[in-house]
Amino acid sequence: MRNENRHISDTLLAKFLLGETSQKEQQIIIGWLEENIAHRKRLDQLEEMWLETGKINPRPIPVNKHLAWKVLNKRLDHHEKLSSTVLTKFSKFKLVLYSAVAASVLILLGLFNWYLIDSSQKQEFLLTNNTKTTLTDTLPDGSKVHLNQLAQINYKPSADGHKRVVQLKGEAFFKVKRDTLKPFIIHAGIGSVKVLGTSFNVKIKKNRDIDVSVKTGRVELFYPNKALTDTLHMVLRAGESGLISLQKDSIIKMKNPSAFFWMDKKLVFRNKPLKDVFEVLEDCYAVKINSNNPSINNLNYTSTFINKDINEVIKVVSTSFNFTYTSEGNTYTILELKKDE
Amino acid sequence: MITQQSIQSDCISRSDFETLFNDHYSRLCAYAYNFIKEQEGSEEIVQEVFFKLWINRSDIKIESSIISYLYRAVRNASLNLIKHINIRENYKQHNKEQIEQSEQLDSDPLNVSELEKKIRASIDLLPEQRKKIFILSRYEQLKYKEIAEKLGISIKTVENQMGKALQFLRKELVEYLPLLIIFFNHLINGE
Repeated sequence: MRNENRHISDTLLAKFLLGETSQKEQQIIIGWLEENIAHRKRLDQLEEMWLETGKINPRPIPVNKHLAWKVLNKRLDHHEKLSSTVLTKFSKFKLVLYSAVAASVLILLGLFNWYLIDSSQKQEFLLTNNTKTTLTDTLPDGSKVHLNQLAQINYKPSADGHKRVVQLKGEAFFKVKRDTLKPFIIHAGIGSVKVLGTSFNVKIKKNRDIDVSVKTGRVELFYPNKALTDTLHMVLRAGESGLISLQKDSIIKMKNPSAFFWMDKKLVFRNKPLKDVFEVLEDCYAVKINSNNPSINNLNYTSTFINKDINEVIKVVSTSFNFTYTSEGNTYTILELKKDE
Repeated sequence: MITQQSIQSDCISRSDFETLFNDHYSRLCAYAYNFIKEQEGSEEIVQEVFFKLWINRSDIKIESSIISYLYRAVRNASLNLIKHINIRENYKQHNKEQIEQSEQLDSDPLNVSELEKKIRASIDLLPEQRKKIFILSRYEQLKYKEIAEKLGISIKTVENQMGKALQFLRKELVEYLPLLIIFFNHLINGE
């Protein structure tokens, strides 16, 4: 068989089988096939092999299982190291939760060895906002970050240099510099957010739920659920918001019209029931809004406010429906005028 | 071979686990890919399943075999992912079909012939680039030209790599192929 290789290579036979040969090449092969029954046999074998490989289902994908095992093996090592030191300090539940978070984070990011590497190799960036206003800064990778009051971030490229990793406390708005080779990952307690280059808001609430709203681009949310059966995953696009909820043990898509308010002081309402408008205002300005007639809650409202204080906003809303209002401290009461008055 | 008993007692060694991983990783990834149509995600799912299996090996209750546990876990995780992602519109219908298809497949996902096992193992043995080219040609039915464009290489490279891939697989699989019979038929019929 070796001898025949000199005349017609498997490369040419492969081309022939797959219909990639020119007419001239075809003629050569046909001639070659007629020369010898062994030639025929060789093509038959090749063809048979081709047909058999096509029958398997599920169809294979080009994975590298040796590399994959290395990754898993490292993760297992890391996990065992971690659990032997943490075990004494935490209850089993916490440990399970911790490993779940660690697990998802590790698998998704392949970060399993960041902690091993000398931190001097990496440019770390720590920022805490102790001021009463919003704090804006630029990370070493060129991304912009706005921290709300009391928020804290710790930015660190991964050991292998393939990821940009941020630990977040509180609420921050990110405008991530696009670098498709280095995903930007935010660990926010119970879950994580992964992006390539986009702008979005992440808020860790008091109950540890994570509120994410996307301004431009696309972000992915990750959450390992408590049952440890899955890592949940959701993609958000511009204008969308999602909540990683501990109580619901899931990721939920939701609306959050005021997600960026703390940053840009801008509110947009489009055909929103007043009930929702009031909720947003209560949330943004830390006030309470009542009305003397619950039926007004269903009226729809459209308007945009930029840099307005709450008195102005209430006044504009009231006026557009011919309502009046009273205020006492942080409580506003909207009054509907009786029709016969 | 890892049995139900050995995975449940704590005495399964890392090297047994590695064997289990090596034997099933590729096919489990392909199984996940069937549902979610994304390679990176498929690998993440399978990694996660193996990871959990190892860390919870003393707690996990495996009712049937460890292999069917793996397939079920990968399927559940894949379907869960699909539920949570807004998959691009054009994939939706495709996915639905795939799920229906694989549900049929799932009726006996473990019943694999020796030949199939051998084919998968042989494909796994191909060098990375060659494997990719072979899979694009064989399973995505791409022409050489399309493969070359997709991978940013020359058509000549695709040709050579395909030639080597087919040559290798033929040698690996020759004793499993029922060709001898055909060969005799040729002789009998005087062809």
